[in-house]
Amino acid sequence: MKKITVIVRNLPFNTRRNAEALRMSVGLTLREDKVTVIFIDDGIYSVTPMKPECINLSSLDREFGALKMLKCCLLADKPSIEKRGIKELIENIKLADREEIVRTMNESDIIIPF
Amino acid sequence: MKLGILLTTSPENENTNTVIAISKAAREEGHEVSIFLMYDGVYNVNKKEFAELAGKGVDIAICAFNAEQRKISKVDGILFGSQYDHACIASDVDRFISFG
Repeated sequence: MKKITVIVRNLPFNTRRNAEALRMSVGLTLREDKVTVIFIDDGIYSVTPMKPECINLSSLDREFGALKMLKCCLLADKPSIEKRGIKELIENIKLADREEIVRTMNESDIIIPF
Repeated sequence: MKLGILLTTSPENENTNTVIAISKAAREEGHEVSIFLMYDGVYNVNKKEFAELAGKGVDIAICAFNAEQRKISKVDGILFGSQYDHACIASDVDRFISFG
């Protein structure tokens, strides 16, 4: 079993990249590999409560639901959150300090920045 | 050695030329190369130099869902597959490189 880490670091609304990163993460579990998704820099806005339907964008709820069901680890970078003054995250997201983020990356067999 | 490559950017990005060069070099050294294209990376099947990699022994698979979204037509020698093909590449290779 490999450890695969996907890094999401872009804003969620000006691109489909973040949604595709989550869809890819779900797909990567199909061979029983351990998938971790790290939200860092502007990517952490993807794990804040939001209403994308207000600007006619599709929600990420389905992807997050699948990742939760598959027991994937979802980490939010604490310094990125503090820098942006974010107070609330969606459920099942683990707040991780920079040390844990680095340790997760170091222990990964594959890292995919998306 | 088995080398896996993920490409998510379209052909105007320098990543395409890098992937072509790495794949050719790896094949010349006798390594197995598998490439998965998704997101805007699926447009690379329309680039002649990239599609020619299939004839050089490089396994190329693309996300059919993304290809359908972008109205990409099927290309001989390239598998229009799914995220499962990506999972298989990631799981089976010795080294994996992501270009995005």
